[in-house]
Parts: sequence; C-alpha cells; structure tokens
Amino acid sequence: MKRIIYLSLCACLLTSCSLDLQPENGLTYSNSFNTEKELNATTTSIQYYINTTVGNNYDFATAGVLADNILDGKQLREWNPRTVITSEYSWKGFYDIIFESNLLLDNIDRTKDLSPERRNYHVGQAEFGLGLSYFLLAQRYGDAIITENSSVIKPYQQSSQEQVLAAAIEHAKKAYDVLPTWDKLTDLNGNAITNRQTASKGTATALLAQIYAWKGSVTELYHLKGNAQEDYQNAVKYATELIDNKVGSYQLCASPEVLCTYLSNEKSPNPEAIFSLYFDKTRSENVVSPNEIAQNYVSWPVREDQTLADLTSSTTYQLYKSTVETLFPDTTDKRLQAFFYQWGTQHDVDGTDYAIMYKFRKAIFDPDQYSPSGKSYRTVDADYVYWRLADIYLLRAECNQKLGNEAQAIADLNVIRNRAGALSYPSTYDTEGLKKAIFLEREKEFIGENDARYADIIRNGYVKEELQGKFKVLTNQDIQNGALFLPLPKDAWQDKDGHVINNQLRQKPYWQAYN
Amino acid sequence: MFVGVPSSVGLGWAFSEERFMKKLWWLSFGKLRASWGKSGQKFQEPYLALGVMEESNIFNGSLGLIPQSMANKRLTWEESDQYDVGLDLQLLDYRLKFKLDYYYKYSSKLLMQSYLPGNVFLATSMWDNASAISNEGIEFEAQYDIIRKKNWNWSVGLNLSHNKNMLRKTYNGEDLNDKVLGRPVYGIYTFKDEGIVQKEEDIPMYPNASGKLTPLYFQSVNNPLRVGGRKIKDQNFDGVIDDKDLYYAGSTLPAVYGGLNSHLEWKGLSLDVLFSYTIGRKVMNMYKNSAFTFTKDFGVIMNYFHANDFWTPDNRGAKYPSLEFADKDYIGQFDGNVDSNIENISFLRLKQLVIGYQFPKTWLKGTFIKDANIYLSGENLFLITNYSGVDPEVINPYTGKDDGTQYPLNRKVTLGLNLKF
Repeated sequence: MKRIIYLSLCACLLTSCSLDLQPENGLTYSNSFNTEKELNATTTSIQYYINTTVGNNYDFATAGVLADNILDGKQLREWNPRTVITSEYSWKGFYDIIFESNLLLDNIDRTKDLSPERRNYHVGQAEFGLGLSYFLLAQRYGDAIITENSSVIKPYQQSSQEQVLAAAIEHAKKAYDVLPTWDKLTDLNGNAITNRQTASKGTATALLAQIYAWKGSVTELYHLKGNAQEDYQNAVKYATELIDNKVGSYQLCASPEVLCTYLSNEKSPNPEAIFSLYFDKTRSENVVSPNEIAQNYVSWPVREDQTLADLTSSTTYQLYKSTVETLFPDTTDKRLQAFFYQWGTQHDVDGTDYAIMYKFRKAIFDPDQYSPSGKSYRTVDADYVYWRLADIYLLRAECNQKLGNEAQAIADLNVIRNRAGALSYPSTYDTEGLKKAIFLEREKEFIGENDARYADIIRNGYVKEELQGKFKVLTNQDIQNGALFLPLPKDAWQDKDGHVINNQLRQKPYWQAYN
Repeated sequence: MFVGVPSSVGLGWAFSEERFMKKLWWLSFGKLRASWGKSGQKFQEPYLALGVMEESNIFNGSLGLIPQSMANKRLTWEESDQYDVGLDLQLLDYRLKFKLDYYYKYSSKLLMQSYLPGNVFLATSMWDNASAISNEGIEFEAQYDIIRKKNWNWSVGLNLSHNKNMLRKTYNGEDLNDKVLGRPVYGIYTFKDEGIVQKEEDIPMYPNASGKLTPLYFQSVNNPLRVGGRKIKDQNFDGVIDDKDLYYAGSTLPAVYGGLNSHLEWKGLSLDVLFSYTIGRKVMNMYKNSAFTFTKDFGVIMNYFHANDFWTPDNRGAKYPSLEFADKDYIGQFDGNVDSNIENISFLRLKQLVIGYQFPKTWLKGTFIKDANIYLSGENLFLITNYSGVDPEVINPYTGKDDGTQYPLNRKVTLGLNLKF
C-alpha cells in the first residue's frame, strides 16, 4: 500500500500541466498574433486608421486654404474663438493609430515563423504610424498625451510639445532604420505593394524632414528649449537623401500637365508621390476620396452634373481669377494652363470672373434616376497625395534659407520653377525676398491640393499677413498661450455624460477664457 | 485571479434535545441554524481578462482586427457573501413542520462597464468588478400531514417568500442611467398624474427664453397642455414633459409569493395539487390604455371605445382626457404611463393538478411489465386575480409594465401512461 502511495506521489511530481488557457472559440490578444496572417490584421487596422484620420483636418483647412469665398465655416475661417471651441475636433483618431501600433509592437513577439524582413515590415508600419501620429498631434494640438503601451490604463498627463516631437522623431527614426525602399515592399503573399500609403524608407525620411522643419520653426516661435539651427540641418539632411534617391526612387513629373494626369490617374503610381492616403475604392459603394480639399474645390466641368452657374452655390472653396492672377504674375508659368480649366477664357458667374480648379479631373458618379443629368456625384477619383517630391524640394529650400544658405535655397526653388516652365528666381516678379518667394512657390504648387498652407504659414511666421479675422489681431501672448493650436478636445477629459474622467489634463490658457 | 478561498461555516443547535425542552410534549424536534458562506462565481462573458478582439475595418481588401473593449488584467471573480439564520420546528409527532429562514446576500465585484480615464485607449469602456447588489429576504415553509394511515394519507403544504434587493455600489459612486444607488435594482418608472385640467388657470405657465409665458408642453412646443388634458407633474420644472420627468413609483417585486400544495393518496390513487400565488405586486397595464393613442399604425384595439368616457366640457368628471390628446407625442395622456394606472394585484393560479393511478402489482403478475401507472394532469387550469389584463404572470419583471406583447400562459391537459419493463 505504501508503495502505491509513494509511486503515485512521484508520478504527480514528475508531471506538469500548463494553466495557460488558449481560447478555442474566441479571439483574444493571446491567440490573435500567432501567425503572420493574424498579425497582418492589426497592421491593416493601423493603415485603416491612418487612412481615415490624417486627411481629416477640417478646422485648419478651413482657416488656411487659399480661397476668396467659402460656403460654410466662415466664422471658423476668421478663427472666432467660440466657433472654434464648439466645432467638431477630436484627437481620438490619432490615438486609435497609436494604440493599434503599440498593440502590434507589444504582441509581435508572439508571432511564430516570422522572417526578419517581414518583422521589419510590420514593425516599420507600426513605428511610422506612431511617428506620424505624434507629429500631427504636436502640429495640431501642441501638448498631447504620450501613451506607454497598449495595456496600461490610467489617467495620463499631457506631455509638452517638445516631448511629443521628440517621441515622433524617435519612432520615425526606428521606422527609417527598418523599412525597405518602396520598390521592395511586399505584402504577406509576396505581391508588390503599389499604394504609397504603406510606409517605406522614403516615407519615413519624408516624415523626418517634415518633423525637423516644423520643430525648428516652433522652437523659434515658442522659445522652446532646443537648437533650431540643428533641426534645420537635419531637415536638409533627410530632404537631401530623398532628392538624391538614396532612400527610394522618386522623380519630379515632367511638367504640371503630366502631374495633373498622375494626380487623377491612380492606376500607375505617381512617380513624384512619397506618401499618399489611398483611395480605397473596394471598401464600400459609398466610399469617398480622403482628399477633402480637392473635393471642396471641384466644380463644373469635372462635375458633369452641373453647369458653370452652379459654382457659386455648390463649390465650397471658390477662387476669383484676379486672385490667381496675383498669385501667378508670371504668365509663362505652365501651371496656369494645367491647374485651371481653360485659363484663357472668361468664366463669368454673376458678374465675377472665377478660376475653375482643374487639378483633379476625374470624378465618380453613381447612376441616379431622379437627377436631371441622370447621375449623382459621389467623389473626386484621386488619392490624397500628402507629401510629394516637390514638397521636399521646397522644404529643403525653406530650411536652407533659414540657415543662411541662400545659394542652395535658390537652386531648389528654381528646380520647381523650371519644372513649371516659369522664370527662374530672381525674376522681375520676385519683389518680396527669397523667404516670401519660397512660401509663394508652395502656395502656387499646392493650391487646391492639400491642407498644408496653415502649417506653412506657421513655420514662416506669416500669421498676421496671410490669415484672416482674429488671426490678424492675435498678440504674442495669445500665441504663446496656444491660440494657433486647437483646444484640448472635450472627450479627452469628459465622458459623454459630462463626468470628469481625467483630471490631469489642462486646457490651453488662450482657450480657457472661452470655455 | 481569485484571491480568497470560497468557504462557509454553519452552526446548528438542536435545542429540542436539551433537557429543559423535554417538558414540551408537543415539540418533536427543533433546531436553530446560522450559517455564513463566501463563494465566487465566474462571469458569463468568456475571456474578458485576456482582452477580446473583434473584426472591424477593411483596408485595401484586408480585414482588420481591433480590441473590443480594453483588456483589464485586474478582473477577478464575482464574490457573494451570504448570511443565513433559520429555525426548524417539527410538532405533534412530526406531523406539523415549520421552517423559517432569513437570508442576506451581498454580491460584490459584479461586472460592469465603466468609462476609461480618457479617449487614448481606442475602446470607450472596459469591464471592471465595480458594482455590488444586496439581496435579503424571508422564506417560510409549513407542512401538515393531515391523515397518516396505512392506506391513505394526505398532506398539505405552504411556502412563502419575500425578497428585497438594493443596488449598493457602482464604479464611480454615482447613479447609473436606469438604476439608482440605495434603491431596488428594478422599479416602476412612470409619470405622476395630477388629474385632468378643468380650468385654464390650472395650467402651469413658464417663461421661455425670450420672456414670453408658454404653457407646459409635451416633448416639443407643438404639443401644449390645454383644458381637458391630463396634468403630468413636471418633476424638474423645466417646462417640458419628457423622459426626465419619470419618477420611481415602487419596486416591481411582489410583497409575498409562494405556493400551496396538497398530496392525497388512497389505495393506489393519488391526487396532487399545486397552487402558486402572489400577493401585493405593483404592475401597470399599458395596452388597455394605449388602444386610444391614434397613430397611423393599424393594430388591434384592446379596449371598448364606446364603453369609455372622454373629457368634454359637459363631461368633466371623465376617466380619460379629451380625445384631442390621443396622439403619440402627448406622452402620459393615453399611453397608460401614469402612476394612477398602477395596480396592486394578487393572483392565485392552479398550477398543476395530477390524478394518477398506480396499477397494483397483482394485476401485472404474469406480464413482462414491472410497473404501470396512468395519470391525467392539467397545468394552469384556472386563475383568480384582480388584474385588469390577461395574465399577470407574464408581465415583465424588470419594468413592471405589461405591454401586451407576451402570450399568456397556456392551459395544458395531458393524459399519460408510464410503463416500466
């Protein structure tokens, strides 16, 4: 009897059992990352959130776009503080990107049989997502929360602008280190990825150039701790790598006309595009292009269901011909013919001559039996090209000008001028100096295409001259108190019943007065 | 992780065995009991502490996966503490038995969705062991063997229960949208009826934003209160009657409920009867009233139009308001959602009646059948109640409101034969 007990005791001690349960009929963190296919589902979520969040910059787009008349958001454009406080803005979209990226990085070690290249691909997407989100948070909100990872639950405190930008740089550098160039990007089946939203080495480089250029400018503007000159040099360094094709092959389109066809033709990848938000047509039958700016400028003839007379009542951002003539004094500039429809003819509506935006030429229509033209307009058919090579040239020119390297700045400016067939700098029309000329060149190149004008104005300190309404009368103290950023979003510290859920956050002093 | 060991302790004192109790000849057995127990139960949703993922979002043809709610590694089992005090008495040579119990159960660490401290977590809520509910009540059971002979016996029994519950804790110490701390978990929420307005002076007037006096209105300014309409108390004095003016009118639990049973046996014939009863339950009959809410929907009208009286200037004492308020936007007028519609009902139902006959073994000798019995049983045979509706037993126990969407319990008669081979 004793022997039986003794033997069974030994048997018990020599066996072991695992108490970790693996769910068989549910998806949890522990079993959703086992294979690359499952890991890819999280990477897909990161891309989805980037696609739906980055282009949504309604408040700054309304304040900053070049337009003579806008149909709605007039008070917002004048930066009426009460209108701004009550308008719809939230940073949740960025934190969705950040959370999913952190989730991927926290769990990627669970994935079995992941080769180093594939691991670099997924880690690169997550790090790029983090870098991009922190950069845009710092740009739009200033102080923001830096989360530790995807599992800690606690009321976070805000980190200062400098810390958020530093976090953005850290993640962007990690992405830069691991990602391959765009021609080597493949999905998990080995097929080449052709959309320019998926991050590659070039995308990370462009992000770094943008972050450093922004960081240098706000260090000077807000008297932050840091070395602005060093930041400009870093921006120039990364811009140079892109221009010299060291991080991927990018070329300027041959002419503005070719650029426009590429902008509207997403079949062949735009050789100039570095980072675009992909127009995901297969998602549903109601999906619209992520480029809201382009959509707001569109009118007849791209809108086949409208006539010229409908422009004043249905096109959100309207441009007078006189404004465009002032912007492009040089009539040899081929951009006039390419970006605007039939530039030579008059387009008169109610006594005013309008410039018809023609940068994006294709639209998607759904058949509609109730409309007079038989179809209803859904969206412009285009990706949202967020950064293209021309942007990097002009960014490098801007940073070189701030560093005092005028010769290099002029050289870059003239690359863009020559591509557009315009007169080189300095010409008879360049009367306001190099810094302003570079800024105006950005306006000319990106008109009707993206929301970058607000950020360009902030970097160059043209708030009082180029913006309107309250911007013109902001004092220096107002700017230091956060007038140029969006207020702290309400849903960051209150739940939908009004209870305070995070009492560590502070509203910016400028907006506190209007709360 | 469950920290704590489920344990229980019980004490009993059979005081009838004590020497000083032997004098009481009628007390056959008596016992006093007390017990305390702590137990834990797993919650129903699986895998919550591991962080559940769900499919969502499509990008470029691939499906994405995101967490359904924030994973909370600190989740533990739900705990219950129960105290029980009881008395067992058996009298008159074990013929009359009583059992009385009082219990108090405190369930804590109940799962609840609470808000996250911010919107930087993708999900908007997380599961937490945050709420607590207490339950207490009395249970009483009595049984009497009326006849106890060899060939026939007859015993009757009665049981009775009373239960009360209360919400004790929430995740942030504040009331929830539909449950209030310190009150029963489920209650009747309805409007307060202040009678039909007879004179224009009785209509409450409120100044609106531009200072003009407007009458009390229902949901929107297009529906003002006029003479002939039912005056509903504006609980928050904001000039509009809407969901914010619902008040707690009582618990939906009955005062007492239980059953009566009887078992009679005579030479192989048996008769079992079971009654169930409820006394003192607050309910509201919604469909009889809502029959008069004229909407464009075509449905069954569960009330007599001609047999009811509606307010007119000549008929000021009518039961219902004027017919001009028979519109679904005029809440509280014809939809029955007023506290004057609360009925305090009781009912007695013959739940089950079984007549059976066990064939004597002598009849079955010689056949291969070992045992046989035949029975006739009826369920829900009749109902005695003071409720104005069809079946008080199917009224929603959470809201106490009978909206006429539940089928009444059906009456069943079964004839059966049991054979054992």
